[in-house]
Amino acid sequence: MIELLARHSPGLPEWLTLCVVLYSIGLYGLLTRRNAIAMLMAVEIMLNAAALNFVVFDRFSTNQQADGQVMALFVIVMAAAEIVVGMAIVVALYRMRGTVDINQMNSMRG
Amino acid sequence: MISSAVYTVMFYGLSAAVILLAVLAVNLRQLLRAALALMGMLSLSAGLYVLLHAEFLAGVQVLVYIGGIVVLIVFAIMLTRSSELLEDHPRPLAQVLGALLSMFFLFVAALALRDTRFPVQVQTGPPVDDVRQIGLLLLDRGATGYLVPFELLSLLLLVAIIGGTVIARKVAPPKQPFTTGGDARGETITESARTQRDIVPGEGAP
Amino acid sequence: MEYIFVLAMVGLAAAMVGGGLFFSRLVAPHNPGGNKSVPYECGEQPIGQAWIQFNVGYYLFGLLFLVFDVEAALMYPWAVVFRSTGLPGLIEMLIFVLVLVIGLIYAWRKGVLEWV
Repeated sequence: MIELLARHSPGLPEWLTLCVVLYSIGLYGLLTRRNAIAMLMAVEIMLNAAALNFVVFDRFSTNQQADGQVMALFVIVMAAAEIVVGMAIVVALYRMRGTVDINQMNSMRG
Repeated sequence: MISSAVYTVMFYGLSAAVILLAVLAVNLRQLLRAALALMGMLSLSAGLYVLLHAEFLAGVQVLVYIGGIVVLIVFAIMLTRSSELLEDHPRPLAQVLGALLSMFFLFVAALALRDTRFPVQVQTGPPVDDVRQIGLLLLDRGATGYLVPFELLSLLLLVAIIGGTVIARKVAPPKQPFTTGGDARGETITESARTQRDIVPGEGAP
Repeated sequence: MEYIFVLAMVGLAAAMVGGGLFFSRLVAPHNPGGNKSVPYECGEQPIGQAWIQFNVGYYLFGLLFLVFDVEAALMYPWAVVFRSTGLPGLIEMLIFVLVLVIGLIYAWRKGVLEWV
């Protein structure tokens, strides 16, 4: 049993598959959600998958430096900046329009 | 032997939990519950970072994502409350189309993964001090360093502070600058007028 | 596997919490209704709904907290390599911090830090 588990220890393809599945789930949420806050949450899932991908390549690369981790750090910081401004826009929209449903955000429609 | 068996079990267990929580986070109608699922998914992702020996990133993940981003999301849910808006009712057509599109993306990415050979190896030897490496890379002024992106991050955060403040701040009602200023000035004017009036009779008396 | 103890700790904590909940459900009398379903507010009578509109000040403070949270997370690797980078590293980090202090001063002048 332990031998079997040890022989099937995950390599790069398994890790990358995990990242891709997470990204697809985030994409699904982004496409189906109507609430702006829920859409931003789906974007967070996608950004998290991207950061995880950077770390995976950092761990499995021949480069002994931590370049991938620096990039993942940048992704996390940008996710923070994105959520600050995005949520501020959602709050302001709610105050102006009384809704956060993006299907009703059509005042720019010609 | 034992350690790689534990690694396998941890990877598949954490992956299954992370995927389940992500599915919940994009499907739950109640947004607060979805935010809770997102929080669980992000903290288990920190576990995945630990599994990849990126302990510093796991700490940053907990500090920034769970301590900050999820809290902001919950605040935004609370600020835009009202029970009918909190529920998210997706349209069936959008659901089917979204599922098809994301499955298509997954399919293409899986094909690309299958047909690509990455020039990789698992790092062996003594583990590198990741925090030290990250710090040296962030402050390195050379061609392979990240000093300029690092300084630009502060600019990005400055823009986020100013933008978020300007957009979210309630526009304060004007503090009636005309009435208060006018009152004060009017009082001084009447005061001076009274003194003038006082003076004028005084001057007219002799 | 230096995290085997962490793993054991997580398992133990989950077992304690889950076991406590399970045994309390098994043993405790189950008799809901009446005042028991009222939210507990330290003995006060709860007033109004839980879904009140929150003050936007919470959001603004959370925003500032998140930005300086990120700043602290980025300062940590600098602190680790401070001895080997020395004065240039200090200057680089000072520039970084000063840019963010501009944002703090902006928020301060705009009255974000005052609770309304």
